[in-house]
Amino acid sequence: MSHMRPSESKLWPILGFAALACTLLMLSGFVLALRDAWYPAPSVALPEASAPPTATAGSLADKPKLLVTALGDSLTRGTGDETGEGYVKRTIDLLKQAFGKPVTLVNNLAVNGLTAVRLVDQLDEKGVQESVGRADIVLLTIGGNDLFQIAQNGGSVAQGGDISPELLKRLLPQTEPLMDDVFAKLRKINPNARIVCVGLYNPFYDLPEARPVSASILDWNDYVHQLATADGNATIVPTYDLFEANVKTYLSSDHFHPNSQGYARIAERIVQALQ
Amino acid sequence: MANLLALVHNETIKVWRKKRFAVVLLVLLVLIPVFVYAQAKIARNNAEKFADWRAEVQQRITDNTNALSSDRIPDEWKKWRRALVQQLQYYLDHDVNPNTPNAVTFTSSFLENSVTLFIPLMVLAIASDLVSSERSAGTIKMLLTRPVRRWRILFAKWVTLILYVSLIVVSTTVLAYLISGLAFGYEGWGEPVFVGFGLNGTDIDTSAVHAVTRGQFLLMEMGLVWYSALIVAFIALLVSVLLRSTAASLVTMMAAVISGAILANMASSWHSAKYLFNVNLDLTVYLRGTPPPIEGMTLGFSLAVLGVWGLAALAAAFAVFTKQDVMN
Amino acid sequence: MTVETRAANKEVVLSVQQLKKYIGRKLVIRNVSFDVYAGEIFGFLGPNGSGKTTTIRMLVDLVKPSSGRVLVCGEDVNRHPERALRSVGCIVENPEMYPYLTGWENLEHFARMQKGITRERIAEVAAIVQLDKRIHDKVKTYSLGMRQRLGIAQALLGAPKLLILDEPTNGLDPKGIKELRAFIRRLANEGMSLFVSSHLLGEIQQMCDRVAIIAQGEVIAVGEVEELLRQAGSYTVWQLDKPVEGRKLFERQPDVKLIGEGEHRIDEGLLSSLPDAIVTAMDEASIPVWVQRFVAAGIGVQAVHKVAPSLEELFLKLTEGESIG
Repeated sequence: MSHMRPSESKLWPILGFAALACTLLMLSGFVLALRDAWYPAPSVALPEASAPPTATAGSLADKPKLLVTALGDSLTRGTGDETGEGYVKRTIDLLKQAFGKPVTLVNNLAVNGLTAVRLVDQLDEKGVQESVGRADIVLLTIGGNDLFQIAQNGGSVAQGGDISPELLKRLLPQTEPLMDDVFAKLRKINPNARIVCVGLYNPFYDLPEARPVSASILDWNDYVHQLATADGNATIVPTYDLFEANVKTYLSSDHFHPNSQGYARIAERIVQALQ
Repeated sequence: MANLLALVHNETIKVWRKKRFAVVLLVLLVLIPVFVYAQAKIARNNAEKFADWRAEVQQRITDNTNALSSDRIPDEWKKWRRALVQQLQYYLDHDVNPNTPNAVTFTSSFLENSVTLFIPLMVLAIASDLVSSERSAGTIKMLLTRPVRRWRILFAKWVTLILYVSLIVVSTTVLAYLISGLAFGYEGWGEPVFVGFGLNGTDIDTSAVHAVTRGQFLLMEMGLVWYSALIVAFIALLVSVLLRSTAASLVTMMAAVISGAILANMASSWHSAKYLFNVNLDLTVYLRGTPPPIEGMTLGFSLAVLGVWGLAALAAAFAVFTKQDVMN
Repeated sequence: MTVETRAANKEVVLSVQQLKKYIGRKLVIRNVSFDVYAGEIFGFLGPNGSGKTTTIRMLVDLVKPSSGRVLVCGEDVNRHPERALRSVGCIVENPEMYPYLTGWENLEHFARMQKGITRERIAEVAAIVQLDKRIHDKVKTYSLGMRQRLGIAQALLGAPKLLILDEPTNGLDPKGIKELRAFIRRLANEGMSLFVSSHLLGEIQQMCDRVAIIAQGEVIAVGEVEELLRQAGSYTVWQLDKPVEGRKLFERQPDVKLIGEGEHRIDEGLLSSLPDAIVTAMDEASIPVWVQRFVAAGIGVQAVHKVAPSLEELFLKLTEGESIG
């Protein structure tokens, strides 16, 4: 520029060049983004993945700390618990007291409305496998959605309209074998974990027309119990008796899921079973 | 050209001496630490809660899957969450941490969150008064009675605007990086990040997915943020030419930008809204692979819509500025 | 001042030719034409709302004329502003500069908009307007008078052939006005043409060589200030030793028109120095007759003055009674 003078402030040259450099940088970023979107370059090398940690063998009492992974349906989620804690968090708190060492939840992988079929699929996911694989204790509730088809019928359970003992009877033989797969997969992923499966209860015990449901539920619990016995390192925590006597006390307002008291009782039983 | 350079010199100095850019920097210096603090808290929480990043990502997947099963969630959210779940799953499957807490990821997410509102507002601080202030202060009478054609004066202002938009985007990035680095450390440039997620109906299409480094990802994001910031600036320049008062032109543009941010969240059923410039501002969604605000929007589409708006605004600004009578 | 010779043989610096301007559908400038010659001070006189401001803005390309043209040194301002405005310095209305820049930076800013203005020239114009001591202070700290001077310095940067000043005495104190007047005269003597607008007649009368008078969007008269005054006719002011009797004598004659004190036909400063003077409009030829008549009636004539009308009066004559606001 012809009339640039030596004594003029340095502001313009500095500012001008900085702004120009920024503009060119932005332009190159923009062009790069377009090129990457339309003519993608080959992937950069991904770093070597470190092998995910796995649980060790040995009794729960011997391990310095315990890792817990929870799997299953809305019960494991804690649906119905007005405090939001569910049985999983309560169990962990009680385990800390009972064993006197750190107990950590790796993941609560429960999904509302999960059926046994979908659990079998879920166990193929990498993240789930890693989470299960490192756990010393696997907590599990499953089967309720298969048998009661709650998800499909939109939860008008309180009226008892959806409860059909006949349907339940028909569903039982095709659902039970899925539990074989669940146990087999869990074992394959983690040979050492203690599997704790919470048994089913009859939420409709106080509805006379739903009483026949109880037979099917007992049948299911029985089946799962046999699987657990065969496994050798699995526990079925019964809840049937708990809710049979106290449907009103332990169920939440949706008449299907436990309330906080119900979850507290389940947690107590799990801890008792693990000691 | 020497003449044009001298005019750009004038405009650049004026904006600088008016302390517009200083205000922008000040706002950034105040705001970024707040976000860094919040982010650091979240990171600390997660570190306490989760055994490692895999557990954390898996938990996010599970939590979002649970949200998907609720009937009360609007379909748009579900679409967005489903895409998120699938993306996270992809990261988990490939053993790549989608958001390591470091300065580079923080800077990226800060840019993503500021592209629709915060960056445009900072751009408006400069663009809205570029012409209107000359008119309200009366200096335009001095400016336009010099032996320079009017289009050259506006052209110089336009170039200055581009320069300052670049400065704003770069300083936002640099400050975010420097400040967040204090909390998260300055590494992370070479970490991989996946781009190229497509949408195939309700599912994510991973056929074109490839990894780039975080550094390159950040640069590409800056470029896209810069482009949409430029369009906002050009439209603001037109408004600044049309309106005499800086306050009026600022308010007009802010209303447009803010309504865009709102529309982007709720206009999914109003399909023609995708031709508005303000719902197209977040170009980073295409890079990240999250579903765009309205179905059918693609990177090319958004670039074109923004481009047309920007060019039309510039054409109108030049037409009006070179012809209008300066009466007061 | 030899005004008569000035116009004839000088080059035309500014030529305004049949300007018309519509604003909306309204024709605000009907027909404005005049020429400004080199080295003269040209007054542009008109009341507020007469189209004065719009015309000035058309001279410097702020407003585009609907028809007609403005030539500065032969260049069309509207078609080639980058060439025509090179020869023009102007202050339109108030001298608004950038308050957040220093005086020096403001001058640099405008210097960059024109080729070939050196740092020395900036220092020179700052010195010309006597701002050199405060030139590195921010303009927002300047008084109105200093801003006015900075505005003039800006206008002088490019050594223009034509300097346009719009109401330059607005807001100045009497001392400042006097200085400005002298300054303008000095610039004219150096060969610059000055175009000075005003709604104050006295100002034009004291400052300008020639004047264009605009009313209702039309130039109603252009010419040398003194020539226009002459055309407007003059008044005869009598000083008598018995003014009351003299006045009675005048009142009886229909060919003599007595001018009351409130009519402001002539400069009031002059009247106040002549107590009991009788202002009349009459045929020059009858003055000796009247002197004899007074002597015959025993009234002593102390003095008879021929007085030119004020510009106000001139303006009233030209515009048939439109008031000056």
